[in-house]
Amino acid sequence: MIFSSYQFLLIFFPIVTIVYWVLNHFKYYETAKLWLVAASFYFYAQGSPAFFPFFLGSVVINYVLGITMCQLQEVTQKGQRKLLLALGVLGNVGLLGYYKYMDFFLENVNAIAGTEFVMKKLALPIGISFFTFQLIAFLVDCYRGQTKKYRITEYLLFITFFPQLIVGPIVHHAEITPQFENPENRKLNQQNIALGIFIFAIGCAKKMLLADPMNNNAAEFYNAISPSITMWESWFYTLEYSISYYFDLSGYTDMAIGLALFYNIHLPQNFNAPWKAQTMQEYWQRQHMTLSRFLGGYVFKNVFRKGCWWRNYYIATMATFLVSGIWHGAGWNFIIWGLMNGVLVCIGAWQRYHKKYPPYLVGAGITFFCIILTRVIFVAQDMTDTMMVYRSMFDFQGLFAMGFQNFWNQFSTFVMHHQKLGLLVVISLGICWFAPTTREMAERFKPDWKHFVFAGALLAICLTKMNQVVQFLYFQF
Amino acid sequence: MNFKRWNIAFLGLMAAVLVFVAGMNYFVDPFCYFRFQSGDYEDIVSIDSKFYLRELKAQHVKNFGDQYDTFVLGGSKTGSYRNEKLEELDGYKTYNLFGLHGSFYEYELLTDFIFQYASPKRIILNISGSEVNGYQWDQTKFNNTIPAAVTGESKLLETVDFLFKDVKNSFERLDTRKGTEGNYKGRTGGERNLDNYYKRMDDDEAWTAYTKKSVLGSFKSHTKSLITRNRKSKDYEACLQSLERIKSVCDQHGTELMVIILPSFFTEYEGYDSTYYREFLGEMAWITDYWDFSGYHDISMNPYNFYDEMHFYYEVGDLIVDTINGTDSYPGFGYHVTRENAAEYVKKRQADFDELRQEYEETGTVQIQGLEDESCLVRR
Repeated sequence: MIFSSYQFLLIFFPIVTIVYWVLNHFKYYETAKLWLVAASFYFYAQGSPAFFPFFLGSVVINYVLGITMCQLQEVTQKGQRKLLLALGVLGNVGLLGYYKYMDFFLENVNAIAGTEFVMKKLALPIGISFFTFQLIAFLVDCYRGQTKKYRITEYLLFITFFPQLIVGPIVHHAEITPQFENPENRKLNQQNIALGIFIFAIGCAKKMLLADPMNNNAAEFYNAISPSITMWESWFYTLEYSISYYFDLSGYTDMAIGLALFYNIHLPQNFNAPWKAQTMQEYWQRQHMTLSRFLGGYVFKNVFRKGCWWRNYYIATMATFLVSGIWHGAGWNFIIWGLMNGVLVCIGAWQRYHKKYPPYLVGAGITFFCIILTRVIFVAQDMTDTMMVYRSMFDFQGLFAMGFQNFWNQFSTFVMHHQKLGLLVVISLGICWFAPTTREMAERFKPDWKHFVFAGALLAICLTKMNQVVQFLYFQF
Repeated sequence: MNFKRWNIAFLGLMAAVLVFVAGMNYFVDPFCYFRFQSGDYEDIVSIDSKFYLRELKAQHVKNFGDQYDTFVLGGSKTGSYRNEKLEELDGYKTYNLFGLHGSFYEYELLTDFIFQYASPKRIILNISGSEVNGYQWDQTKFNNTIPAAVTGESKLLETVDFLFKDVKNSFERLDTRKGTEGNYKGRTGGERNLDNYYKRMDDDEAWTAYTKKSVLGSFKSHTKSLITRNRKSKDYEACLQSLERIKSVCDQHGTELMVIILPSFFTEYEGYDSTYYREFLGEMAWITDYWDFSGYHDISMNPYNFYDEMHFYYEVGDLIVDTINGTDSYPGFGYHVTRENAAEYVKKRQADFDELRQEYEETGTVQIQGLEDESCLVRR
């Protein structure tokens, strides 16, 4: 069940929301929370029924471990706390590893040892990479003594709250649980609902009107890479894929933020116009911000050591992006993608330290090309395909050899066949570079006709085609 | 405007949009879902492959199932039987329940469904081969999904789903109605109507060009893949268990189960044929006897017997029925596999394949039959 589907919008969401507010209205606050937890579990079970018992078990075990750590004395029982943390982290990583990396592991064992292990081909439980991060963060904070002794309902709401359960934003318990506890948030807030509708409409349009058509088109290209691909195709489809990835996750985040507002919950911002970044370091500060925040807080900080600040900074950055690559997918391409980004971020950090910035347009242009070039390795099925795309992207020799007439014919034919999607790419780029962000638009939101027509038109168009459900790209992570 | 009014107005607008979408889907009915609810062919003007034919068939069985003695199950290849030919077997009135992209999971559900509404004397289960790749397909296209009537899932949700299909389909349907009614007409016995394919045969040149494109389009790559890849599916066991359950249900009702493995142009076997698949064929015989018309014989090596790589013309279906009936035959076409000869048959399949592989390795290709050959059943 995804947000941009009739099943969700016409059945699940209205029922859950109405019952939640009716219970709050009659001051059944705890029951309202339990209702939301039950609904969130149902929401998850719809997407990954086979994994649901494991999910439930994992959530409960993590709670028991976390709460036990909170109760143990910080100094005298440090050893036990450490053991529980190690158990919890290993359990979470083990579950994620089994479902996500088993085939990758077996493939490599087969390649190295010449064995013939049959691939498990396990269906990846939805959202496992996201909620695993949240569970680990909870355990680490319990160990560090930075967590209150949450009651089980508070904890369950933090982990399972359905708007953020599957694809984030990756939330921290300290920013969610106090909101559910705040008495002010137990009253229906028309302003939040209006804002929620407005943000949801924008997110839905990003996903359905921009990301989906481009994604379908680019996926066809990347599923059939051959040596005969042209330079235009390689650049165009990679650009399409890059933009669709952005709008897909950004759209989902907007929808999640909008839905959470119906319950008076403010989820953190996840994107801040990343395409306007001047360096790749800045790009990762604006792109998938809650992931960067998590990796910064729980990986970078743990790897970074005092001493030669810059050398250690580079090492910690590379380690963080290695984890990011592995987190994004099981395959060498993801690991290389992570390392490439790490190197580019280190270059950005070096520029920042030495204050050696090129003019803004040059910096933004270079960052733009870096985004596209790193996307190739992210979306190609294997390294052979990756190299074929890279080769064709820079096949200037072939370009010059074909002569101007052939060049023009090839180019104009390509443009002729890609008019609609080409226009969509141009519009999307325009939005990425020049339009205000969803957050900026939300800040200016007023209940007037202008905003009514804008949000109404976006959501009305989406509603007419909501039956063609296209999964969110990040559901696979 | 205050926030409350804004919210109410917005919800009102969305409700109006939804009513419009539902209205279009109900009255234009682009997939004929609502029109097919009676299951009566009398009510239907035309049948197009774009329609939800599985629903029509399910409703037909529900409302008229007791009129039939035989039900034919299978994937898309099964559509190329002629019911009148099948009825020659013993005069049983037959209904063809084929559906595109069939699976053992669906065949099993359909078997149970048939017994709910009819008392058939025979069920003919046709296996395409590709079913072994997935006991239960993940169906994404609406016309490949199994209707709620068959799965037992919520009819209400299914109806809601069809009420809120993309409104673009309704506009396209309105546009189509202005012109022709699509190019694929069904038949009242549930079979496929292949008239359009036969029209191409009027001119040998056009037919040859069509065959080259539609049947031989992937000849090189698929032949190479067939010879070099030894595919293994993780679902052989699930498919065998499913067949066992189907057999058991039929036995419980005293109904004969006839199992047939259908032929295709040999390059299509690249999707599933392998040493593992041949073992699977051997194991099938321990559950039930069956007829195997697939394999590497002249009929499957002649592209003119097929309108695309996967699907045969009526004449091939006719010969299958005649072979079973003992009224006609073609050398090497059709093998009745039983427990007793299963091992021998698997060996024969393997030997046929080895011979083909040797030819490919020596010549870099495989010799196929042509329009003028005796094996071209359409011209026979």
